[in-house]
Amino acid sequence: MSRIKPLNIKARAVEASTDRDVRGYAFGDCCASFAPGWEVGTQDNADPCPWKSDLSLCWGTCYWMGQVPDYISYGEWLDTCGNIQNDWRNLCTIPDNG
Amino acid sequence: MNLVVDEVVSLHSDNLSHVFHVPTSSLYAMDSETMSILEGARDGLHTDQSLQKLTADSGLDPAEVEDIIDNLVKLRLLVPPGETGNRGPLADRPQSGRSMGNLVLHVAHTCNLGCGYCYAEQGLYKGKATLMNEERAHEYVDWLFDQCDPETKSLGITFFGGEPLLNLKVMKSAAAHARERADTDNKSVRFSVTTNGTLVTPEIVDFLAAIDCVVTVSLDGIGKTNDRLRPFHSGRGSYDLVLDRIQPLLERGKVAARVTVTRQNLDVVDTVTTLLERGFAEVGCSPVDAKNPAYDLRGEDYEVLLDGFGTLSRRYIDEAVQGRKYGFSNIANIIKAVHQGHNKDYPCGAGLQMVAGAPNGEMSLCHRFVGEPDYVLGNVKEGGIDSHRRLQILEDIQLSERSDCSSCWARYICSGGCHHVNFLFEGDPSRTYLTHCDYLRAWYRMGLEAYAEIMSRNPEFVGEFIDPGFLCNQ
Ligand code: SF4
Ligand code: SF4
Repeated sequence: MSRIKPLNIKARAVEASTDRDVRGYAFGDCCASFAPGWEVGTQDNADPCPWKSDLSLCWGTCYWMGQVPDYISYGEWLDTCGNIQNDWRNLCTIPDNG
Repeated sequence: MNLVVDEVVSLHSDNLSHVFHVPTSSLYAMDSETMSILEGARDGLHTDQSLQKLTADSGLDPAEVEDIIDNLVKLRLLVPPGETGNRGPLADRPQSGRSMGNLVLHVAHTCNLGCGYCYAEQGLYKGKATLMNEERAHEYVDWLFDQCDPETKSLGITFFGGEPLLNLKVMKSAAAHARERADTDNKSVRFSVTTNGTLVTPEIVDFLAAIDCVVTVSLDGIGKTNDRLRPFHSGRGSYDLVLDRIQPLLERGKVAARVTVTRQNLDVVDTVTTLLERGFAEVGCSPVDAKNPAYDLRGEDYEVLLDGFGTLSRRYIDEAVQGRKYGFSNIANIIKAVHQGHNKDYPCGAGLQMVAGAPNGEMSLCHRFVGEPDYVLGNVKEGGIDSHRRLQILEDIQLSERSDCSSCWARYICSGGCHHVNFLFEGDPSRTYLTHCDYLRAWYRMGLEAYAEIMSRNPEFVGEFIDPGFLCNQ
């Protein structure tokens, strides 16, 4: 990008995130492709990558049960994470129901 | 092709063009061709025709235009229409559940000066004159250490008032106790004090040196200007006495001056210049927080203030280009914020990292809220901060709750302005005091321009003085 130079720290972070944007192309469902997942998506919910929020999307439709806690035994596993963009730190992959 | 320009602020200077991306607080330098493409896309690139027109207007060949657009898209300066304003993961997350790292200890609710504009009513904070007792001071220190996260290695204690030096005995005892706790807990503790400087003695100079205390002296102007604003209760001025008393501190270095700017002392250039010449390491100016027509700034006053800030900032830039630091702290602070790309939901650490403790044990959102019952977070005698109350207040005052700021380009750097100014003028810290927003925006723009100019003329300055170790050419 010789014509544009990022100056401050945030601009450098944006530029760096474009370099590691490794979204892949799927052949069907989320596991068949090199899908980086929401944690490396650069724009959270607005990321054009359809797998940007694979956690919140997958629990509903994905057949690959290993990816998320099953929603029948762990009904509230997503409750503390109403908004992936803001609350992702609250996610627990296997909730402590005991 | 369906793209629009995301929210940006363009800054033009002699030979470079800069763009500040509002949602992520990123700042870019770009060549004039890129700038003209970005400007040309202002109405959106919704069709291939609009792209062709842009290409024709630019005089560049289509492959070059495509390349420029590609880069603008990567940096999210051009985005699909539904994706504007996205902060993405670059927003600075508020740490509303974390422990406090800084305590403002109000050791004396009384003052030997009688400044007319004082928001604390000569240090009384809506109460009676009181000094904090030793036991209470120790309770505060213990609370600070007890509640602190294991990861926090360094804590800060600010001695504040009224005039804190009126309670030297308790300051000393609190400092000694904090040092003991720091040793036992394997942490460090930093001290600072804000004083009017009138009571400084050689003994106090030694004490402050011994605890390595950062000293800020409040002075509002030179000579008579200061004396009119900062008189003793008898009416006598304080300037000559203060300068005389703090001389040994100035010789030690590290003393800052803090200037409260009112309608009556708008000549900040003279004040800052003279105080720096007198040996202060830095001088910062802050508009008064008074709600009193004799002092408050209004439209034309803000213009005079900005003009003065402009002159001082120019000096700062010129010195920075020569590799030297000029001690005008307002611009230094804003340059730091721009460098880091502040993108915050809160303007300051009040209630997040910092809390103020009054002599009666009440702990408030910050020093300026002491004595305001609605902003008490807890009591040190009853175990400290009530975390539920703290979260409630923090949720109330965060930027995302503020519709007044939602269309302001400076919102993620300014984050809604000082809660206390908002409280004083609007009756509620969650409402924006819009009167000073034009001034704030002009000032933030000045900060962006100053940073952009320094980064283009002497970027090493940033690595040396603003962010040690920062590698400018990477
Ligand atoms: S300048 Fe005013 S409108 Fe803009 S963020 Fe600050 S307080 Fe809000
Ligand atoms: S609320 Fe205002 S006075 Fe209090 S810490 Fe924040 S900026 Fe400072």
